[in-house]
Amino acid sequence: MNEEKIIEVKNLTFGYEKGERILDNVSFSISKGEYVTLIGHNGSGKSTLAKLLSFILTPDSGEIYIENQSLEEKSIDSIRNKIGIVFQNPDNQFIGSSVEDDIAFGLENRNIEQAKMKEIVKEYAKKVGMLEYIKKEPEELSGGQKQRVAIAGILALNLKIIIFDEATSMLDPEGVEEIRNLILEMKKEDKELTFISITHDIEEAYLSDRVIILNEGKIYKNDCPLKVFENEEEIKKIGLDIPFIMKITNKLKKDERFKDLNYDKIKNLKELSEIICQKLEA
Amino acid sequence: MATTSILGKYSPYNTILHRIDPRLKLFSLILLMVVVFLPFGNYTNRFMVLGVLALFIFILMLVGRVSFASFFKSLKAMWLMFIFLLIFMFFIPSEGKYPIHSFSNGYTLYYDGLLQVAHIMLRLILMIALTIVLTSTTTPMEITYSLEWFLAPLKLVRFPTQIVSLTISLALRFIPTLLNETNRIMNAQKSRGVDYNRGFLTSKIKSITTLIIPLLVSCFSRSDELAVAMEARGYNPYVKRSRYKTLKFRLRDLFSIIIVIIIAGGVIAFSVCSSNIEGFSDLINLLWGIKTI
Amino acid sequence: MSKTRSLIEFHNISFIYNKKDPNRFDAIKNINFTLEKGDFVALVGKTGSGKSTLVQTLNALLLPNEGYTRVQDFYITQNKELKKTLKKEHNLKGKDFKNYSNLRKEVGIVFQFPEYQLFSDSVLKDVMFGPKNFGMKEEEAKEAAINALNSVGIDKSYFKRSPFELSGGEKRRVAIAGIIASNPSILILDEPTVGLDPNGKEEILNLIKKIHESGKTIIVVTHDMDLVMNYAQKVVVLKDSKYIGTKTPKELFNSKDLTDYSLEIPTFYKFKKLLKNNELFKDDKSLENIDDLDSLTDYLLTFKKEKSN
Repeated sequence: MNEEKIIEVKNLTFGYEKGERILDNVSFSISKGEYVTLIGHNGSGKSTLAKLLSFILTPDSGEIYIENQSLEEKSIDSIRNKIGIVFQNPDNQFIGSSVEDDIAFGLENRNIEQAKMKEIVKEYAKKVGMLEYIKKEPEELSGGQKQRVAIAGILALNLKIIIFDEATSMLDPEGVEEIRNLILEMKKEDKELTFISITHDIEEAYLSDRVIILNEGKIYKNDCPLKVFENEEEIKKIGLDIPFIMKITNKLKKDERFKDLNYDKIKNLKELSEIICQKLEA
Repeated sequence: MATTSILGKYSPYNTILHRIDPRLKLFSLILLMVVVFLPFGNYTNRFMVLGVLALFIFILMLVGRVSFASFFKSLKAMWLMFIFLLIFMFFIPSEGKYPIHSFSNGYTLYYDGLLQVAHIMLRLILMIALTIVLTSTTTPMEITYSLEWFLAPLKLVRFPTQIVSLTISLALRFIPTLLNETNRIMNAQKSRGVDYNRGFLTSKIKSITTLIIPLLVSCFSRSDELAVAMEARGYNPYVKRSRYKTLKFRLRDLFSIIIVIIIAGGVIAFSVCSSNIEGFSDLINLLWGIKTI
Repeated sequence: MSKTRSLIEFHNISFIYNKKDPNRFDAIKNINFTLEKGDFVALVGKTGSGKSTLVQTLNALLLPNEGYTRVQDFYITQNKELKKTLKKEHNLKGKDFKNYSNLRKEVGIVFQFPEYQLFSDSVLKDVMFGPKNFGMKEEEAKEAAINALNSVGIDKSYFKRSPFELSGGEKRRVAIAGIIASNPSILILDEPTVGLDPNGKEEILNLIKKIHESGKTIIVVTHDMDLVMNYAQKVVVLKDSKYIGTKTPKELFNSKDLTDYSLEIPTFYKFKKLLKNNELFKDDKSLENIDDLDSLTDYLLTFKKEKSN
């Protein structure tokens, strides 16, 4: 991971109405290439934060810097060339009349010449596994496929930051899996790409580099997943749950034999089951 | 799943009609529609011309693999209009050459009325057939692109053609989505005891509001989200955008425009001369057994 | 009518969309099963497996092309031959197949995103709409609506407000109240938790549980396996438009064919399966009967002790 800061948020405050504090003095920073998950209840300010980061809303006070460039009216065009968002509803962000038209939409907006555009569209349709569906219309696609098209449309613009705003919450389990895998794949492929995922999915948070928990407009926790979910009681207090792997290890750890069971090294369920069996056999 | 619109749906074949430049198709459609509505003197000539056109359109439908089922489906939607026309034309007192029956109160029915209804219906049917040939061989997007091309001269008077064509294409894109939505809302309201088929005018109006209001609410929230998504992807209506697809005029397009012009030209020429062949038409009328001597 | 009959019966039903088109789609094929009064059933299967089509036959929004769906004494079919036989067998008249209003009063369906069915200018009026359609008088309907709103936890101060001002979760609860106000004996919910956050989900699920406890039959169409595991008594599995079987949630998640049904497996069962793949637990019978996390960890801890002894 690169230590270079790509996003810096300082004392951000926002409310839709006067006196309202959806976000209350929020500060944090994100490094280049990081995969950050943002969790919290509806109304905790998560989605508002995403809209502020992409300048769809303007903050009441505080500053946002993207690659050391302050986010304001003047810099809007250059910021748009750095941040892309995948939204919640797959239907309402499908703008083109077919897969290829939709991937091309952002490129058209940037006045890319046609021949080059055709190449780019193909390349990124292939990357998200939608090349064979390139002529299909949105009503012929599943929710997961539509979200993959949205992701291709953003990747095609060669942006530096991708925000997923509850992008899997309206998908069926298959769609969720598709998108989760795609994110991990993209991350492997491009180490410079920064991901911010706003989600309710705690298992996804476990896979990310860092978790920020928002509660009532304030930052409640901001650390790597292992540290964030370390104290089960603190997490349950605000009505959230902890990831499955941590739940099991926390329970087993109370026993002598499992004392050195350490989840820093456990990446998935398979590893966990193997380690437990090893310990039991010993 | 059950979304078929009245004016036909694009069927994804790859016939010569599918490959022709959509601008040309749109232009031909308009030209042929004008021809269908040209006046041609007496009825014999009119029916002859319409017959020729019908044959031509029938060939187009075969070539373009247009679904006849969907054509008849659209016609079915018109039967009410047909009956209305029939009553209207048949019973409105008019003057004609060929009476069917005279009532005692001096009111007379004429064959002319009947012919006129048939004539109007035939024109409408041909128009629908033409439209279906266009919509089933041309994607909505291609139609939008050609509309934009035809509107291009308006740019000179600062008409926002780019915005208009994007709006049209978005509308086309969302039609199936909204049809599904309509279906879902109707089902939901039926479960609450609404009957969309029965009831008198006042209860009909009430049941329609249970559909329209939720539909509008959902449209507004959709368009809000859509606008945000477009903005996030860098859409600015006042900046020059490049196009992913542009239209190219090819040699085969030249041939097809020649065919259309020959047919249209022939029909128009015939229409101009047709007033001079009264005798011929009277002969045909005899054969029809209409004329009483 | 015999008393031993089930509440709901799907008798060899098939439903086909666009029967005569090239786009023909057989949404459900020859489905046979029954459900009993007071059941809490989850209907599961991949997207497109026919779940939604199946439940829509229950209040005659879709009429089966073949076979019939029976709710109490009401037969739902569009097959003319079958109607003739049914008429003879059960002494029915033509209009007995068409009295949808009575049927829909008994079978309430809460569709996906029910918040998009609200239309009135006040919450109370919207909830009263259904009961009034089903023949209740103004006063009765008002009482029924107030009761329904109370049971979904919508406060009195909301009654006069416009439903469009409410939050997403509140709108959904009002919409559910709009269905239960007509007091249907069978309540069907299509993906009731989609798009809600964990708190909102739990609220809705507890509400459904409460409705079930008040004596109603509940059918939930869902992808949410946590819902299935924690709330349902029976699970009906559909795959490729066909009926696979009815199981208890435990049976389903312990079954070996689970991956064949293309269902999402709850994390707990995924983990259990991984353990079972291991040499150590290969022939372990007691592990199979463990169905919650606490018992599993307890078992793992004691297991170790047994070994060391």
